[in-house]
Amino acid sequence: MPDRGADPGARESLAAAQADLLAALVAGGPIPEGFDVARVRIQAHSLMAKRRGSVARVLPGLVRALGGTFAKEFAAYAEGRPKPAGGSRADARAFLDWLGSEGRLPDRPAPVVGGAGTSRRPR
Amino acid sequence: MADHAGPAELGVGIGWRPEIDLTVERLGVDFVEVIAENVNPARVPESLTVLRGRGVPVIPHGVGLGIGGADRPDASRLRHLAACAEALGAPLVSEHLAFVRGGGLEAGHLLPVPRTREALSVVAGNVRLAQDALPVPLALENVAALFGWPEDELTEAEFLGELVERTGVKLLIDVANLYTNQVNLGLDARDALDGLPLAELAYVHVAGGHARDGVWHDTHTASAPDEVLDLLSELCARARPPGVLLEWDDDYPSDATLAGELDRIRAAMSRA
Repeated sequence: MPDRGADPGARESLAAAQADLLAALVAGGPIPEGFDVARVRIQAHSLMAKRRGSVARVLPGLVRALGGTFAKEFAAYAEGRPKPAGGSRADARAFLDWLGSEGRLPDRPAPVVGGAGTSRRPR
Repeated sequence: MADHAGPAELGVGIGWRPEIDLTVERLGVDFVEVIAENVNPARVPESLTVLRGRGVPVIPHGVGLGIGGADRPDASRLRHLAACAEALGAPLVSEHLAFVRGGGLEAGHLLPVPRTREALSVVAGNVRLAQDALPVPLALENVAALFGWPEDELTEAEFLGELVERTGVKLLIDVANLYTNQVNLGLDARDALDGLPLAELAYVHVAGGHARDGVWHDTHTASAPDEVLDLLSELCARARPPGVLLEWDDDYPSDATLAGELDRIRAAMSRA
């Protein structure tokens, strides 16, 4: 379908600008020129905290098993490793795999909690 | 396409979440919103069916379309939003003026779009594509930002106003996000309210958050601060919103606390 008015070059330049910023925010790339460096870092930290929280929600057993080291382990896993396609459950599985490959997976396996929509309604 | 029949009357609502489904049913709200990405249109949660049976409108609220991205909106995401609207009998669909992915990377959150004329032309094209794919009107929400783009040349109100003019898109104004941008970026929220085409308002979001090191984080996990409710009053003094909805995600409080938050919203609306 035609863009009906968008300059064909506009998509390319917007794509490049957004890709550069995202690389800085989630993949350890350089912060593009002109941005407030401190603010971009705060945004990057906020995205990481949200990502960690989403993984914690699908791995409550692992969070308990790791105790106080969950945040530190997740930060080490996520450093320069962007969130995989497939959302937080894919991220959680990749985190488990990484912990396993590092030899730091707790003894009791931690099942990934299933999809959204669990209801408290009595059946 | 653009709906000139005037916005649907919605009232005071809350974001429906599976964790608080029974609470939402007990609160007796006028309308609810559901995160579209969490809905399977073929298996609508029973609680939403209960609410619909009482005549409570249910609005699919998308968080993953990224209509402010450089790519054209994804056809399968648009089909999902359309299917949600049909399955829920929704009067409209809402999404965000934000980008969420690019260059093969997912942000996992809503990021602000550069407010340039060039980006505006791209986003307007994206909005038209989305409108063409949806069976009901689309409303777009202003987002909370922690940073601005160095090349910003329009205010948020100007950018949204231009989008409304070019596409007929409706507005979902989040007063907590206006507050966030005021605290974090020094953008005056009342100036924004003055500049926005509030006649195109579909509804309003209210939420709480937390201050950390002088930065406001719009977490949706706390009581809305008085400053946010004051902005709601200011908005209502300028235009009567068809609906106002409380967003609360995670760290859910008691039913009584949520009921009290809805009362604070009603009081702020009547102060206008």
